[in-house]
Amino acid sequence: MSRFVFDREKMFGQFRKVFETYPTDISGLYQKLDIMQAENPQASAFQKKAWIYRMAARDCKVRLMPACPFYMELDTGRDRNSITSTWPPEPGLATWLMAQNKQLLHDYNETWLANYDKALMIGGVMFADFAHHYADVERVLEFGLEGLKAQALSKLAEVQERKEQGRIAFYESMICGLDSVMQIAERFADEAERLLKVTEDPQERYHLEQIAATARRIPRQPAQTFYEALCTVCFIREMHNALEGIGFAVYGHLDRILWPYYQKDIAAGRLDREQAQALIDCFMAITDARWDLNRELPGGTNATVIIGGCDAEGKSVYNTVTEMLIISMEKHRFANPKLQARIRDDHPSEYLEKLADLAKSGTNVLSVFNDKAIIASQIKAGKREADARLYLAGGCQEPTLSCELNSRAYVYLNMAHMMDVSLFPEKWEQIFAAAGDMVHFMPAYRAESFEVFYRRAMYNFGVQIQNFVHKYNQLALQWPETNPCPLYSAVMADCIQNELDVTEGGARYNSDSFGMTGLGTVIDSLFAIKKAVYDLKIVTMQELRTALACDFEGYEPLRQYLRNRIAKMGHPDPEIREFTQQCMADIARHINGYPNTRGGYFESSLFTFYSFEWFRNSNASANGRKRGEYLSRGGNPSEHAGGIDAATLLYAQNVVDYTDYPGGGVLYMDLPVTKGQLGRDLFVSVIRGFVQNGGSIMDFNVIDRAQLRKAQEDPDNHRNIVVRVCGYSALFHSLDKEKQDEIIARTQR
Amino acid sequence: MSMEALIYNIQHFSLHDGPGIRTTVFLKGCSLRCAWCHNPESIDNRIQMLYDEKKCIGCGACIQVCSNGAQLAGPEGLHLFCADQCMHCTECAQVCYAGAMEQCGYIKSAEQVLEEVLRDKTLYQTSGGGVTFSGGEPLLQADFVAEAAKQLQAEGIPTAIDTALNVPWDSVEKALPYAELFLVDVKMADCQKHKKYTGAGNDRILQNLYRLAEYKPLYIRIPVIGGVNDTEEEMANIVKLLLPVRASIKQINLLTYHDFGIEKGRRFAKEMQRFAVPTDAQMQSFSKQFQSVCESVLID
Repeated sequence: MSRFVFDREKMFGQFRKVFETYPTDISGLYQKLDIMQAENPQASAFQKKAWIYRMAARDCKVRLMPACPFYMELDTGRDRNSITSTWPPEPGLATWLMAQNKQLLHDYNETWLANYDKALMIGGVMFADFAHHYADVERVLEFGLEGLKAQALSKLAEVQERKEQGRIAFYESMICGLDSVMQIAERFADEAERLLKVTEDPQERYHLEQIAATARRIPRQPAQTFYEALCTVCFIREMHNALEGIGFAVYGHLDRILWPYYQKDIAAGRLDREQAQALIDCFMAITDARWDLNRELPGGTNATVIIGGCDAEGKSVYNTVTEMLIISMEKHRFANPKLQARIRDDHPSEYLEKLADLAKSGTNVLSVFNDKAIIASQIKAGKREADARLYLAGGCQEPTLSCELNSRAYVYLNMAHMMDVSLFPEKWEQIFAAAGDMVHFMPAYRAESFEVFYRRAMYNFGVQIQNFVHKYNQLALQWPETNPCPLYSAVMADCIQNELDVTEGGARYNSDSFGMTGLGTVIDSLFAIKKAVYDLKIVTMQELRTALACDFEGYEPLRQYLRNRIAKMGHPDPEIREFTQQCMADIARHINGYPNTRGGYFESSLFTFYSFEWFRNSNASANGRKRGEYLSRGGNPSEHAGGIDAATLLYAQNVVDYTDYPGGGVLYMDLPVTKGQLGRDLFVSVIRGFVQNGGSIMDFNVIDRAQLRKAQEDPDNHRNIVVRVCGYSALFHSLDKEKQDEIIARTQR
Repeated sequence: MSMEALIYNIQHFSLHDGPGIRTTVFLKGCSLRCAWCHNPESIDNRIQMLYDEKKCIGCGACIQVCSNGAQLAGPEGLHLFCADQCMHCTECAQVCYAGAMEQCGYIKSAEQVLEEVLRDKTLYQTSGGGVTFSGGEPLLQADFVAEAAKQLQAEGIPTAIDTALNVPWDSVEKALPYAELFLVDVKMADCQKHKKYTGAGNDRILQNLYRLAEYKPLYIRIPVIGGVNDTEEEMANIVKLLLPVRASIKQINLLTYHDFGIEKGRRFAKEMQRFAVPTDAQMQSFSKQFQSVCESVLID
C-alpha cells in the first residue's frame, strides 16, 4: 500500500472516537498557570501567552487518526464543537488568559451591553472579533516557521538594543509560540512512529509513515510537495485555533495556494490526480468528521475554503485544484467547510457550470462572491489593489484580506431601532442614558417635509454609529491585554516589521465592521413615511407614531395600507429603486471611515447572521411590520415585500453601489430544487445575473418544501438534509422547530 | 396607437413554461371551459374582482364604495362578496388595503409588457430562456401576441406560446413568424369526451396542431386528470394522435392534476369540480407510454 486513500467511514469513526471524549479535563493545567501567575504578578500578557504556548507544547496530547493523513489535533481541552468565539470564554487552555479578565468584560456585558441587548439595539456578546480569523498560511509555506522565527529574532535583537521591554516580551512570546508549534509538530512525528509499532492496517501504516516522515520538517520548513502544503494548511489553522483563544475560520484561497505544488508534483511524477483528489477529500472531510453535526450548532463550524477569483496580478484562478475541491464537496455532500467561490467576468463557463452542479445538488454550502464589486470596495476603502485581489471570506461570508485583521461579525446593530430613534427620540435618549451614553437625537418626527425628516433621521443614525464606534473602540483598547496573539502576529504580514501584535494594529490593514441588520425593513419604513405621511397624507405623523407605539392595535387598515400599498425595496418601481439607491449610499457614508484603535477604519457591511431573528421583537415599523415579525436579512428586501422572485431580486441589485460596502452585502438567494440541464443553466444564469447586476455576495439555499415538511415530521429518516440557516449550513434535523419553520417559510416566496 | 391586451399576471423566473429561465405573460380570456382548470380566473375575458376572505380584515371600506350591492356586511365583522352583482368597476379593490378584494386583469400595452420582460434579458440569454405567452388562451389576443413577439424577436429574445389551439388558424398564423416554440395542450383524444369536459370538441385543435407542426417545434402538455383521462387506454389514444407529428415534438410534459383551481374559483364564486390526483406510479407509467413519441417526457 503506497497511496493515500479516503475511507470516509473509517475516518469519521476514528474522529468520533477521539472527539466524543472532549472536552478533556485540563483543570490541572489551569492550576499550574494560576500558580505561575501568583508567582509572577508582574508578568505581561505576552509573557502569559508564552506560558500557554509552552505548556501546550509540553503537556497537551497530540491526537492522530490514522485514516487521515494529516496531523493537526492538539487536545488543549477545547469542546468538540468549538470555534472559540464567544463570551464567557469556552473551555480550553488557550482561553485561560481571557478568563483572567472576566471582571472587565463582565462590567461591559452586565451594564452597557445588557442595556442595549434588552432594548434590542445590539446583538452579540463580544467586544471584538474572536471568530473569523485567517492565519496566513502562505507566509508559512514561503518561509517555514524557522524563517519566520529568524525574522522575529532579528527584530528581537533590535528591540533589545533599544531596551524596549514591552517589545522584547512581544518578540520573545512570538518566538516561544513558533518554537512551541514546531515542537508540537515533532511530537506528531513521535506519535506516528509510536502508532506504527502497533498498527497493522497497511493503509493506516502508509498514512502514519507519511506523517512520521513529514512532521519533523513541515511546517518548520517551507513545503515542497502538494501533500506537505496541505499538511501546512491543516496544521497551521488548527494550531491557531488551539493556542490563540480565538477562532480561525478561514482555511485560505486554496486553489490558488495549492496549484503550484500540484503542478510541480505532477511534473515530477510524484502525484497523480486520483491521489490529489484523495488528499483533498481527506482534508475537506476533517471539519464534518471533527464536529458533532447532529447537535444544534449556533453559528455552525465557521470553516471556509475560498476558490476562484484571481491572483495578486489580477489573473483569473481556475485550475484542477478548484475542480477537485468542488468535486469533493459535491461527491461527499459535506456540510462543511463552506465553499466561497469568487467569480470574475473572465472565468470559463466550465467553472460556473461546476459551481451550478454543486449548487443544484442542494448541499447548500456555496456562496458566490463578485470579485469586481468586492475588490473595488476594498480599493475604495484605501487598500492596495494587489492586496485587495487576494481577499478571502469567512466564517459566514465576511470578506477580509490575508494581510488584514478585519474585526467583523462580532456585533450586530438593529437598524430598525436605529431609525425608531427618529420617531421616538425622547424614549431612546433615556435608553442610551441608562447605558451611560449621553446622546441627543433630533426630533425628526416634527419635520414639516420628508427631506428634513430624512436628513434628521440620517443624522440620528450617524449619532448612534458614532456612539457605538466610541464604545467599541474603548473596549478594543483592552484587547492586547486580554488576549494578545503573538503566534498569529508571526504569520500576519507586517506585524513583525511593525513591532506590533495583531491586537495592537500590527497588520497591514486593520478594519472593523458592525453587522447592520434590517436594511430592507428600514428602507421600506422610510419610504412608507415619505409616501403615507408626506406625499399622500394618508396618515399624520402623530397618528403613525401612535399606531406604531401600540403595535398597530386598532390601526389594522393603516397597517395594511403601509404593508400592501406602498412599494418596497426590491420592487421594480422606479421611485423605490431610486430611493433605495439613495438610502444605501447614505447609510454606507455614515459608517465608513470611523477610525478604530488599531490604525484602521470601520467599514460598512450588510451582514446579519441570525440577528434578523434575534431582533424580531423590535418595535413595530412603518412598513407595516408588527412586533414579532422578522427584520429583513442582509441586503435582501423585507419578507413583507411580496412578489419578489429570483429574477426581480437580481434586478434589484443593480441600483446599489456595493463598492460602498467593503464589509460585504449578502444576498440570500433561496431557489427551488430543479432537475437535469435546467438546474445547471438556472444556477449559471443566476450567478452570471448576480455578477452582471453588480451584487456583492450571494448565499444559495436550495430547498424543496415538500421534502423539508417530510423531514420535520420524520426526522429519523431525513438526517442528511443540509440547509443554509443564515451564514452557515446545518443539518435540518438538528435545528429547533422555530428555525425549521423559518426555513420552510422561505419556500413560500 | 400601441397594441393592448388584457393581462392578469406577469410571472418572472418561470421555470416550467418552456426552456431556460422565462417570463410568462398570462393573458385573460379562454375559449375552453376545462372542468379542472387551475387558473379559472383566466377564463373570463373581462376584468374581474376576486375576493380572498383570508385576507379580509372586516374594515367595511368596500361596502362603503360599492354602488352595485356586491359587497354586503357578513357575520363576525367580515363581509360577503356577491360576484354575480359585481360590475367589475374595481372601486372596492382601490380601497381594500388588505388586498382581500383584488382586481384580476389589467390592460397593458405591448410597450409596457416589453419594458417589464426585458429587464430579465440577461437571464434569458444565459439560460436559453425567453418569454412565454400563456393564458387563458393567448391567441384570443393574437394581434397583441404577434406584435409583442415581433418586438421581442427584434431584441433577440425567443418567444414561446402556450396555447390550447382552440382558435381559428388565422390567429395561429399571426404569431407564427415571431414565435420560436409552441407549448400545446392536448387534453384527450376523443372528441365527444373533449367536448364534455372542456366545452369544445377537439377537431379544430387537432387540425391546428398538425398544421402547426409543419412550421414550429412543439412542447406537448397533457394535463392528467383523475377520472377523466388517467387511463392507459386514454394515454395510448393520445400517443396515437401525436405520432404523426412526433418529428416536431421536442418535449412532452405530463401535468399532474392539482386542486389549486378550486380555491381560486371560490374567490369569484365559481364552483370548480374536484378530481382525483393521479398517483406517482400512474404518472411514471404514462411517462413510459409517451417515450415512443418523444425521448424527453417530464412529469410536472
